[in-house]
Formats: sequence, C-alpha cells, structure tokens
Amino acid sequence: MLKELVKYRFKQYIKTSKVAMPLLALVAVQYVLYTMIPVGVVESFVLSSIYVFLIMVWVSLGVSELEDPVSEQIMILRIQSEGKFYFSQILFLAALSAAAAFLSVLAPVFINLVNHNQVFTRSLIPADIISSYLLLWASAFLGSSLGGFFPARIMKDRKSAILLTILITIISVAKGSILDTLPLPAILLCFIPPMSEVFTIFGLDEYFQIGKVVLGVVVLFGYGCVMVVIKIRLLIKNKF
Amino acid sequence: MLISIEKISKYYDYKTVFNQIDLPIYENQSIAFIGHNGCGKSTLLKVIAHLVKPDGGKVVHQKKLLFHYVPEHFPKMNLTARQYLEAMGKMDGLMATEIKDRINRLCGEFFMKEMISTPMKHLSKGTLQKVGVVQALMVTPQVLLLDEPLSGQDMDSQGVFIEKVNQLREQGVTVLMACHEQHLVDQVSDTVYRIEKGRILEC
Repeated sequence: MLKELVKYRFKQYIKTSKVAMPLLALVAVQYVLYTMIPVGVVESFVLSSIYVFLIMVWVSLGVSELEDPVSEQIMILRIQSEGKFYFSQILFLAALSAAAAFLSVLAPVFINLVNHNQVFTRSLIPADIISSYLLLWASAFLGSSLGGFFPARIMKDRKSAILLTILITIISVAKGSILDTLPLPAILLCFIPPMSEVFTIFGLDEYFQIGKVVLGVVVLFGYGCVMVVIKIRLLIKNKF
Repeated sequence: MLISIEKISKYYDYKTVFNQIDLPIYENQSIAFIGHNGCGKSTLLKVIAHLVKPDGGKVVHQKKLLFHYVPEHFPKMNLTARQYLEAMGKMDGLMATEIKDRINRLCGEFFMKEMISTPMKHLSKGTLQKVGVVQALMVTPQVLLLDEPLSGQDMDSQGVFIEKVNQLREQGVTVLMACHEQHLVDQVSDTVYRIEKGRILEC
C-alpha cells in the first residue's frame, strides 16, 4: 500500500512542470561548483549540501502546491489511514532527497574522472563517497521537510507561507554569520533548521571523520523528522 | 447500527451549520441529505467520514469502515484517467488484470472509453465527474459517500450511475448522498433528511 502511494505521488509529480527547473538548477550548481578546480573534498561537499538543501526546499514547496484536498480525502478514505497517507508523503520526499543526493555525488565523481583526477586537492576514497552521500541526503531531507512545513491546510495564505519558508531557509543557512555579526542571543535562533551547523561541524577538515559525519547526519535527519512529525500531527488534528 | 452521529455541532465563521444533531445510520441504509446550497450537506458527509472535525459531539463508527467518496468537483490532474484509475485499483489491492478489466468495463459503461488516455486537466466537467464515479466503483466499499454525484453528467450516464448505486445497495452497501436532484433521490434513497437551520428533519 505504501509503495503504491509513493509511486502514485511520484507519477503525479513527474507529470508536472515543477520537475525541470530544480533539476536544471541542481545540474548547474554541480557544474559551477566543480569548474574552479582543484577544490577541497570535504569543503566542496559541504557547500554542495547547502545547495541541495536550498533546491529541496524549492522542490518541496512545489510538491506542496500540487496537493489537492479532494484527492487527499479520496485517498485517505480509500487506504483507511491518515497516518499511512502522510507517511507516504515523507517517504516520497525522502526518496526525492536520496535521488538529489545521488546526483550530487555522481556529478563530481564523473567530472573528476573526466578531468583525470584533477578536480579535488586529493584522491577520492570510498569513505568520501559514503560520507558525502549521507550528508547530502540528510541536507536534502531537511530541505524537503522545511519546504513542505506550511501546506495550505496549515497556512491558508499561500503568499505568506512561501515568504515565511524562504525567510526560514535564508536564516537557517546564514544563522552562523548572523550570530557572529549581530549581538543576538543564540537561543533566539535555536529553533531554526540547523543547516549552518554543517559548516561548524566540518570546518576546513581535509578528510571526513566518522564521528562528525554521524553527528551531522543525525542532527539534519533528526531535525527534519521532528518537523515532519509536527506537521503530520497538525494535519491530523486540523483535518480538512 | 453502523454509524452513530451524537450531538454533532459545526460552526463556520460564527454561523451555525449543525446544532447538536443526532442521527443513527444503519447498515445497507440509503440516505439522501437535501437542503439549500451551503446548508451543510457536504460538510455532514465529511464529518461522518471523519474527514472534518465537528466543533461538538462525535461520530462513532461501529467498526473500521471502507468509505469510497464521489466528490462534487473532481480535481483536474496531469495524470490521464487511466493512470489515475490504475493507481486507485492498485491501492484497492486489485491485480493488474482485474484493474484493466474493471477500468475498461466501467469506462465503457459510462461512455468515456475515448477519453481515458487524455490528461484529466483537459477533460470536461462531466467526464471528470465520471472519473470520480468510476474510481469509487473500482471495488465495493462498505459506505459510499456521494456528493452531488450527477453534476455535469449526461442523461445516459446518469441512468448507468443510478443502476450501479442500486446494485451496490443490493450487495449491502450503505449509501449516503448529498443531492439536489429529486429524481436521483427518488430512485436510490430509502430515507431522506432535510438540513435546515442547523437541524436535520426527516422528510
């Protein structure tokens, strides 16, 4: 049942015009990111995770706009479970995030091969591929959770919902710089998605360290899951 | 009793839609809710199906029920009718061959075979409404919710629809309908309630 729901969501999404632009942006970002070579391995993947986060916010906003209450009602009654219905949405976004992360790892590896291993300041090792994939997937998932956090049933005013999402997105990326520049207490921004923490965790490391990768992935996935759980609870509570 | 509506109240913008309504719904009953536009017929169907939360009271289902729903306005989508109906059939747990057979049979009966491969965003209101009907008839539900099910449908399709609903009644399906068309009410309903000023009155 869940598999069929996810497949249905995918079919619906792929048939819209909302696929092309984010995909194009993702490819363009990868191209630009690995044009000025050589680049540090960790540094470039951390930067890439920020871009993937931003693109997935965009994707998820698009997915939210596709939702239609009538077809949702038909589906919820048919599968006899609101929980399953909303969980399929998370699985769908997690799958899209996984695909975006896969592309974002595949692109530099491919560009590196074409450029005879000249793209990075050192040779890529399998741990780089695994670590960067997990980091990118977690960042993409966080982006998709944020982009879908204010669906029409939670925030009817779509203009405000989009503006609020964009504002939170910007702050979540620039949180570190904002706190460095402005004399704000850190607690004010502690509820903002922890995307800028990725810079803090990895800094200018030359190699991925397993402890830091696990910490980063847990923080990003964890926060994304909390957002998703809050959203589902609100949707179930509010109903239609 | 299959569903028990207990002291349901619902307000929209301080306007009372229902005020402490009580209503028992029995298995295999076919109820039509009639009343003026905006009196709360569609809302009542959704409250019964637990899609809309009442402001007071509760709706108790005696067991877990499979509801199928024909909405008043079926949404336009990028998918074709066939793609949509196939997806619904899969969610209903049907095998691929059963899905194909049922789609072909039902779409044939509702005179929409030629439109089945057209994206639903390009379908007329009536044809879109037929997709809404066909999806609800892919498998036999326990409760069929019909919200102005005939809107936009041609006369021949209306006849087929009435026949199908009555076949489902013979199979024990409970039918709850919000409707304006008297001929439809006369042909498929055994109980008629009028919703008026927040109250529900048997006709």
